[in-house]
Amino acid sequence: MLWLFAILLTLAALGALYAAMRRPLAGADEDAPTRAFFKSQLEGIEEDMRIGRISESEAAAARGELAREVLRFEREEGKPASAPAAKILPVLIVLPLVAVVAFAVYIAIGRADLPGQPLAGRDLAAEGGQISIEDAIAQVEARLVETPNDVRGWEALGPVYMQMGRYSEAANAFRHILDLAPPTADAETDLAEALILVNDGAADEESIALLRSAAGRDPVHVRSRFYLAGELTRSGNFEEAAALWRELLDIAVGEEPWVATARAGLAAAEAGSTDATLSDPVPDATQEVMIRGMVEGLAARLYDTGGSTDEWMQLVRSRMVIDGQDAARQDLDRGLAALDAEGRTALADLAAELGL
Amino acid sequence: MLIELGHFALILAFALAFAQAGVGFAFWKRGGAAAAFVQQSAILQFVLVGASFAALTQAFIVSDFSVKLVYEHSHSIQPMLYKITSVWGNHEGSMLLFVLILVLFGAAVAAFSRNLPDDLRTLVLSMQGVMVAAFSAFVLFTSNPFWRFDPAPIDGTELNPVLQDIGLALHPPLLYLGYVGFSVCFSFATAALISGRIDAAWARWVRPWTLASWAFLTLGIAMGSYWAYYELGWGGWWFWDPVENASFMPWLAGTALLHSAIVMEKRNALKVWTIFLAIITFSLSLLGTFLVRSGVLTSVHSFASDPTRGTVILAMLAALIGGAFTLFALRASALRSGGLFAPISREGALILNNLFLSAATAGVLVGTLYPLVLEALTGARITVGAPFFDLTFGALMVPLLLLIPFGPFLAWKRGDLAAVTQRLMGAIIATVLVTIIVFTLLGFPVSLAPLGLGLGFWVMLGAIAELFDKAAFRRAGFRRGLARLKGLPRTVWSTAIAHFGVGVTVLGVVFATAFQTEIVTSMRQGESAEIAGYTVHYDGEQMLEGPNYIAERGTFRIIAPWGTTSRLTSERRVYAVSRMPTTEAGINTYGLSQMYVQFGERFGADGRVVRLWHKPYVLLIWLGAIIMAGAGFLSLTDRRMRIGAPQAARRKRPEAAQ
Repeated sequence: MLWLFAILLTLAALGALYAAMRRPLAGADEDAPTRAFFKSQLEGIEEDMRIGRISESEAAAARGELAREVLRFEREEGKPASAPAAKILPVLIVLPLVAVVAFAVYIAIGRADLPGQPLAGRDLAAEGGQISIEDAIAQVEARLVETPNDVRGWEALGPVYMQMGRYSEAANAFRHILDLAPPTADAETDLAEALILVNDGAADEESIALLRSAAGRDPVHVRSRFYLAGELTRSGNFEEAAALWRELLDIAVGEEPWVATARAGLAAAEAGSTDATLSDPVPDATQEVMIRGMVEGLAARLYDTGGSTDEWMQLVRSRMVIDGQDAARQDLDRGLAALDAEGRTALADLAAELGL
Repeated sequence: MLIELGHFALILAFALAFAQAGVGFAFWKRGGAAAAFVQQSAILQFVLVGASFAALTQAFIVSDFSVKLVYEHSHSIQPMLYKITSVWGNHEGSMLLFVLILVLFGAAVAAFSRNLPDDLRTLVLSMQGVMVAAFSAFVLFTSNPFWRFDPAPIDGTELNPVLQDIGLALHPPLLYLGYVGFSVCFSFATAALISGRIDAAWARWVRPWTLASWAFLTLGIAMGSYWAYYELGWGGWWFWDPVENASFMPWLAGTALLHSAIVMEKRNALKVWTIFLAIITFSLSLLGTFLVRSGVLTSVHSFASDPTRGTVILAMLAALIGGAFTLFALRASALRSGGLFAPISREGALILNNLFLSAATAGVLVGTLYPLVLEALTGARITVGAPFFDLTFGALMVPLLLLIPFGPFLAWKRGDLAAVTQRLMGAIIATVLVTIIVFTLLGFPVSLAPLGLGLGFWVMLGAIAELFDKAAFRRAGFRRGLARLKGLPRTVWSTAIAHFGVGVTVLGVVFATAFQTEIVTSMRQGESAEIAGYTVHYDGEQMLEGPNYIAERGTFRIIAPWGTTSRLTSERRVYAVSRMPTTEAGINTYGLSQMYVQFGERFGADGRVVRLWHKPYVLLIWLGAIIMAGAGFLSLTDRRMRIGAPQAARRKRPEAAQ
């Protein structure tokens, strides 16, 4: 179709050129324009004299000067034209050349295979589905190979890896974030979390150290304390664990869903420290429960009293990891309703990033 | 498919331009089929590039993000006007606009110059063909606006928010009409050098193109200046920014060309100089394009800086200008010198005009290029700022402005200065009186401002005096004078009106710089400030959501000295997609004066930094420019401009018989 129109367009243009050449301007008198100019100058002199811009004698002088110009022109240009008018044939050769050049260049740089894609005619939802999460990850990864120091790329990848259960890659991403950006309690906890999951739920020394650092960095950081307390309870460090559980309960307002878990943890730790023979030192505090508790706590607080854009973003991101899209979308809607315009844009951006 | 067809049309136009240049230069002496080919080809190129431009515009309108340019410079939520202006609000699109206007002028030459000698027209069109080929090749191979994406992105990034303004719809097209229009003068100059026919008739044939380009450039610069004034929020209207200078230099040179071509047309003199000016004017236009597009200068105009593009433009610039000057050097010496004249004569006055204008052009050129050259050579970064330009440019303009009223009074060939002064006596006395009144009203300040105003009045009154003198009210009496005034040729009217416009702009410049008042203050809701007799009352701010931005809008009430109250809003916007902040100054107009309010940063808990300017008679600056451009267009309608058009028009007016 495109080719048909392109050919028609070319033919029309070349046809118009041919038609013009067939009947060249009726060999008008070559000198006519110049004579017309002299005539208009003469008229100008007459007019100037009429309105009194120049006197009669000045006009006479001007006319004389003009006459000399006309004579000179007649002498120089009045000879018969030397060259015969150009014939049509040599010029005609150019026409196919024009067509060849046009098509050659277009084939080289054009995209005849691509249809136009007006926005209104596109099914964006279907297209969005076509871009699978794997493709999106692959794109970001490819970009990170070129710019490994782009912290935003790693920040985008880390949570997605976590969601997909690719924990060691997530750990790698979080490690990069810690290297590239100033450390935060969240970043350290993220890495510790990923490392724990790599080890099938067991915390190694590095993750413990990270969690301690995070808890030390932020006196009200819940997630790191939760992990740390659970791990310490599990490994039998009951006194330190009990202290952490207490700290957590102090941080809590009291309505957080994880409070029950923390109370249970504290009870277990206290029981452990007084009765070293407790058979199963891990109460009901599996990692799953802990994380869920924390997320529920954040959700409850934000739903009740609102919060900053960053907190809403954290909630949506975490919910995506734990409960998947539907639950995250619910949080997203609440967040969009609660935030101001600027925050809304940021949150919507994040949602788009997560594919919501 | 439309977009690809547009791409193909541009390529076809490019191939045609090549053929046009080749055929034209090979057969220009022989006319006939070759002349017809060249003429038809020029018109076809306009049709093709027009179709191409329309296809690109359509892609922007329907937000076809499979086109890279649309993705990079538009967004689905942008208002429709800005979707359309986005077409040229970027490097690639603006270069396509440049080509479109180039072929528009080519087609205009082909269509309206059927009465030129065949050889001259063929040469002019061949030269235009060279330029169309060069610039469309530049567009196609280094800055192609038809580049595609597969798959297409979901949505675009955004047009630079500073450019999301009605100004983008007017300023670039007008400016390009001016810049590119001078390409016709350039082509005429090279054609004259090649064919060796350089005479008074040539000057007449070039004049409409010079006039039209000059008028468009005047409007384009004025529009750009007003846009910068209200959009950038600094309250200034001219910054001697290199990008502004880039457009100002062709204007100065073009103004000189306009005047020297008159001498050439009337007296067959100044031929070499006029040809030189025609070449230099377009060269300066190209230099401006290069400076702006190469990324050498950073500003809102240098959309995407890409060194290779700059190099290509520089090479084209060197080839075109270098070629023209080589030709000039080879042929200029063969020109017959024209009519003789005494130093004090119309010719002499116009030479003085050219002298001052070219010196001013050179001054601006040095000030603009010197920092660039210095940086290239030594790496030192300096800026040549307003003080340099104010001083050099001002020093050159004052004598020029003093002389303007004398020019039109002087006779050709041999003038009588004493007689002219006598005829100008009315204007001189009026100017002195007005200046004294101004001095008195201002309380005899120790400043040059009243003298500057006097200069403006002098130019304006001189222009009026010229019309009065030509109508000969004193000799002929009022009623016949009036009839004569009406009967004056339009060229006389346009000269007087254009000079009057210069005076108006001078007045505006002096008023705006010498008498503006500025206050920077912090205001809380309910507070007010006094400036130049106006009371500005801050009514508070609110958040509001535009189509593609959110804004903090401050609302003000302004109570004028004579008691009327009007509202004014001034905004700070953040654009949603690019997250870029802009300011929208609030401007209220009182007659020719303006109150300009810029809503600044937050100050403390509930305060705002607010900048207030009172700008007395500031609109005169742009009004003067519009008057000048209008005069240019008026002159285009003069009967004698339409060479060869049916001359049967009423040749003898009844008045002639009286």
